[in-house]
Formats: sequence, C-alpha cells, structure tokens
Amino acid sequence: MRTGEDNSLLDRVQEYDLPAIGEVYDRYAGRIYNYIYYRLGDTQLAEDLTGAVFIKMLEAIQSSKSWQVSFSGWLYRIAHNLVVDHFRRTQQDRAAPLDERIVAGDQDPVKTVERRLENDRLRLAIGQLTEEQRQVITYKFVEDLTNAQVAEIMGKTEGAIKSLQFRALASLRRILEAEES
Amino acid sequence: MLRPGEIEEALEQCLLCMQRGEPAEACLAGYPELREELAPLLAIAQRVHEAAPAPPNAAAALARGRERVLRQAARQRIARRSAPWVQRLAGFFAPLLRRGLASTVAAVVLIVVLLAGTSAIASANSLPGDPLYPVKLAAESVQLALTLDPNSRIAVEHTLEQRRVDEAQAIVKQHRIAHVSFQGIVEAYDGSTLTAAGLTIQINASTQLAGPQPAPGLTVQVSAESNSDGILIGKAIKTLAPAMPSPKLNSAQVAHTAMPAALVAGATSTQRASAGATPHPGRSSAGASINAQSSPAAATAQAVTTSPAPSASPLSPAGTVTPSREGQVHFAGLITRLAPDLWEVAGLQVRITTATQIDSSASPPAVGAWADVKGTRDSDGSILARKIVVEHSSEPEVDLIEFQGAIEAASSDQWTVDGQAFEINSATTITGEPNSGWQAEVQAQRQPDGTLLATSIVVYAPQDIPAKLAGTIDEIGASYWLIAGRRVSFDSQTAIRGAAALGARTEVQGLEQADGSIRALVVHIHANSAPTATTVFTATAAPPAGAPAMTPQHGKSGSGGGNPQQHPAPAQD
Repeated sequence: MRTGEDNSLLDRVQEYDLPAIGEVYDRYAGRIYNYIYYRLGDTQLAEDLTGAVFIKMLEAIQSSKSWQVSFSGWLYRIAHNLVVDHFRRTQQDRAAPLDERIVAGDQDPVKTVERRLENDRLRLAIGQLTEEQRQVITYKFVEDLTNAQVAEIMGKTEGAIKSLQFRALASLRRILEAEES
Repeated sequence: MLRPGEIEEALEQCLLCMQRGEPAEACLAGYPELREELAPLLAIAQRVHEAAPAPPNAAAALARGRERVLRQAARQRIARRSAPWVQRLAGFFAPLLRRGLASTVAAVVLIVVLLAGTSAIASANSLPGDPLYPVKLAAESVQLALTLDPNSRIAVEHTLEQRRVDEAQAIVKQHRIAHVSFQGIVEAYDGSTLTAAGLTIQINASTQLAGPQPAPGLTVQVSAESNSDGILIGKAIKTLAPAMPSPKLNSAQVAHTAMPAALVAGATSTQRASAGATPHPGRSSAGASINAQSSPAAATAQAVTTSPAPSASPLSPAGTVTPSREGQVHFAGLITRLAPDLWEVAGLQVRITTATQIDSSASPPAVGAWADVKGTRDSDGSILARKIVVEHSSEPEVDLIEFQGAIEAASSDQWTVDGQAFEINSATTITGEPNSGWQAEVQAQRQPDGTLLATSIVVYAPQDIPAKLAGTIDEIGASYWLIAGRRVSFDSQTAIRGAAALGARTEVQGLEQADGSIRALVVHIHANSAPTATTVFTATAAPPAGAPAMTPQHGKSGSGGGNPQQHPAPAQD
C-alpha cells in the first residue's frame, strides 16, 4: 500500500518534477535492472532497457491509471513488455534465468563444478516449463517478487499466481526426478 | 479431502515461512497431511533461489541511466511548458492512438489541417518513440493512399523514404533508444558493420540478413535499434533487388556510362541528412536519375524512338546518362550551371532557346535544383531543350554542430555559450530565457564564412537541472552546509533525514544553482557515520530565510535532535 508521501511523490512525477523522478528512479531502478538482467543475461541490454522503462514510465504515467493500483507492479509490467518486445524482435531463445556463469564464492573447484552442473540441470528443467510457469519461477524465486507484484506483471489474480506457482514447482519436480532417475 | 486451493495456499504459506528464515521442516509442521507432497516442492524452490546468479554491479550503469532519464524528463517538461496546447493534443490522442482506427481518424484530421496550411503540428517533427509518431505515420499512409497519380506517388514514396532516414539520423544523434526502419543505398559492408544512407549499423549474430549479400550500390531495407550510445544495432537487413530503370524512359534511348568522378564524389554525401537539407530521396547528389544497374542501352548508332511524354517524376537512383547521338532525349539531374542560353544538367550541356518551355512552378531554376529535361540531341551531340521542368530545389548540405554550456552573453543577434559565439536570427528557435549562467543546448549551422548560426536553443532554468552529491559534511553554517567541498543551501522544502554532524556521510539530491551551489531538496545523513568527538548541530530557533538554523554545540557527540523536516526512510513497495 502506498503512503501519503508516495502519493505526493508520484503526483510530482506526473508534473515532471525532476527530484521526484530521480527519487523514483533511485528506488526502483536497481530492481528493474536486475529483473531485466535475469531475463536477458546481458548487462548492456539491461542498462538500455532500464532507462527505457523509466522513460516509458514518464510517458505512460500521464495517461494510464494502472500505476495507482501498484506502482512497482506497473513498472515491472513495463519492463516485462520491453523484454518480450526484445524477444520478439530478436527471436532470442527465452532462456531460463540461470546463466552459465560459475557462481561466485569459494574457490573450491569441486564445489564449483558441482554448482555448475546443478545450474545446468535446473536451467534445462526450467526450459521445459511452459512460458507462464517459467515466468512465475523467475519472478518468485529469482527476483523474489511478491504474489501481488507478479499478479500485476502477468495480469492475473494472486490466486492464479499461487496455482501457477504450485504447478510450476510440481512440473519441475517431475522433470528433475525423471532426469535424476 | 482437500479443498480447492488448499494445497496451493499451504505451499504459499510455507514459502513465506522460509523467507522469514525458518527451516523447511518447521514450516511444514503446520501441514502434516501435506508434508509428503510439499517438501519436494519447497526443496526445489530453494534450489532455484540459491542457483540464481548474483546480479552484476550496476552502479555505473544505473547512474548513466539516471542522467538520461532526468534529461529526457527535463526536455519533456520544457516542451510542455513552451507548447501546452500541443501536449494537451497529445494527451487527448494518446489513449486513442492505441486503436488503429482512431489513429487513422486522427491522421485524416491532421491531413485536413495540414492541407489548410496550418503549421507547427507537433507530429510532423515527431520521431520514433514519440507519442504522436503513430499519427505521423498514419497521416503519411493516408497521404500516400490519396495520391493517385503514379508519378506523384513515386515522389511521395521517395519523400517518405528520405524522411525515415532523417528520423533515424536524428534518433542516433540524440542517443535515443528507439526502433528505426529505413531504406538506403549501401556505402560499405564488411560483415560486421553496414553503412547505408550515411548511417552505420552494427551487425551481430542476431541480425537477420535476407536477400543477396549487401554490397556498395545495392539498396537495403534496414530495421535497427538505437541504443543510448548512439549506435544502431541491426535487427533485420534485407537487400533489395536492384531497381529497374524508370518505366518512364525507354532504356533504348540512353546508354549507360560510368559516372564522372565529380559526380561520384558527391554521391555518398546526399544521404547524410541534415536539418534544412532536402536531399533527393535515393539520388546521388549530382548524377542523373537513370539507375546505374540498368544494362547499357543500344549503341550510339541505334535509332532512337520517340518516347511518350511522361510527366515529371523522381526517377530511380543514379548514374549519369549519355543520350544516344541523335533523336529525342529525356533525362533528369541536378542543375550545376545556369546561364541565359545554356544550362548544365546532370553534367550535360543543354541549350536554351526562346522555344524552350521552362516550368518553374514547383521551384525556380537554380544551381542545385533538380530538372527534368526533354529535348533533342543534334548531330554534334549538343542537346536542345524542348521542355524543362524544375522539380524542386536542393539546399546545400549544412554542417550542423551541437554543443551545450553556460550562457555567457546574449544579445538580439549574438549569444556566447561555453565560450562559443554564434549568431541568431528570426529563424532561430529559442526555448527558455537567455539568462546569464543558465545552461543552454545549442544546435547551429556553420556558415560559409565559418561563423555559426543557431537553429535551435534550449535554455534550462537552474531548477530544471537536477544535482546529486555525496560526501562528508565539512562545514555547517547558518544557511548552508559544505559537503564534499560544495556549498549546499536549504529552504523550507528541504527534507533532512538523519542527524547532521561534521564528518557524517551525506547524500544530497537537489537542483543546480547558477553559482555552482546546490539547493538541497533531500538530504540523507548516514547514521553513525560521523567520527566520534565531533560537533553536533541541533535546530534551535526558527530557520532564517527558509534554511535550517544550526547552532554549534561543541564537545558533544552522538545524534542531535530536532532537525527540521526530518523524514523516515521511504517505505518500500
């Protein structure tokens, strides 16, 4: 729920109040950047599209009322749409959010290889999910978004998100058990 | 028997429990009958969460993005101030533009208004990504659909093609993120970059190439994305089949020859669009209009048949033409010389007599104008013009430069910005007030004598320029602070979060002032960041003139109290 201060801030954003826009950017840009990065795996693209999200926000906040329900969810939806547009234009494989990089951490080579193999297994398994199941897995367990935020992004109810989450994890379980057996 | 949604809700509650740091077994304790089914799902959720890679350090990227966003916001704010009726128009149409039919209706209205001679319609200058750009495209579609004459239609198509090139160049120049689509002639291609229409497009693994391999001289249809660095990334590039010679000319009448060196030298510069220049779509700068790809016509000895008299029209891109020795000729090109009885068009000498009909209704004859010539070629090779239609003039290329900085001087005919003097005239578009010290963005043309003539000036009032500062508090005065060596002033709107103390790490968001100081809007003081045994300031009396009043209290440490307008950290969504 937004506070009165948040309402005032967004009202000022609508008036192109630059400090207000800067504050909104500072609040949300990091999360939006991470979200786009996880979806696309490219830092330059993430930087470009993050800027594009907020520039679109400046335009859309003048006419749309969707942001009044959940501003962050609405912002994520803009980011989601830009990512989808990118996929459509490039016909890029909508890879699972887990990339091939070795997870930073200790230098134990055995553990490093084990983590890589684990990542590979998970990535392949997530790649076999439906598009919606893949999205909810990314939003919930990679991006750590709430059901309300995911519902806003995907245009569904929170109940539908819970069901989707259950089905996605159940499908992942079946896929992983089949591979591991 | 499970109720519908029960297991989904149980899963959700267990996940929330784990997010609070509880172990999975403890979370499942509340659902013993579902444990066997839920435990594997929680384990998988945990595996995915732990496998997620840490995001890269994006501080620099986010800082760059912040600046871009705020600059764009400043431009939109200034544009809204200076042309409020346009913004209201855009705001009115914005919801309608989502529906194609409404765009068409709006476009028809726009056409009517344009035909009525009304100027300053915002969409005419809109670029990809602007709110009114769909209206502009729809208007062009309507215009094309309403152009029934085939020759005029070709002219309109060429004009629209050039417009797409101009838009792409503007997008690149402004470092805007947008999708652009245009057609142009390939100037260079090496597999990783393609240069066409004066624009360089990066080719990568995801670029879709269709048609023959791009090669200089071929026409390509480019779909690309521009990024914030002003780089075009190719998304799809289709090489079009070489254009056939204009249907209006009988190719047997002309013989193709190599372009003279002077014409070749000018060919590639045509596609470089610049403000005010109207290069001919798809043409070389000085060449005639017969496609260079056309096969050589019959030899000079071939008899020439009289062609039907086509109406003037833009013809295909270029090579020069050498009409056959005798007979009717019809060609078009740039006027490079004008004399009462002799013109030079497309490099050819054209004799003018009293019988020559010169149609200058579209444009007066001038060096650099495009002329369509019909006449006869005598046995000595000279061309006697029967009819010449001057189609439109070509403005010389201009050298555009852009720069920005503080206004140092401004008079009715000359300004100086950032040490650069330039002239202004009645055609200069000035947005904002010419106040000394204020920041201005200038677009200017270099004149033949080397001076600069501004075409556009945008002045930013200090309150339009956001500033951010981070550092330690070096000094706390009655009406200002020194943070990281910079003077920070306050007013009644300043929100201060945290307790002020010398040496405390502080972040300031505010607005640039003409004297280089920052007027603070938000001050965030990091708790416990000040050295011990420091001087702490607390508010005492009412602040003078809108600034927080601070009274030094020596020998004390710890947090002070009573700072004016203290706010808690912003709540997160």
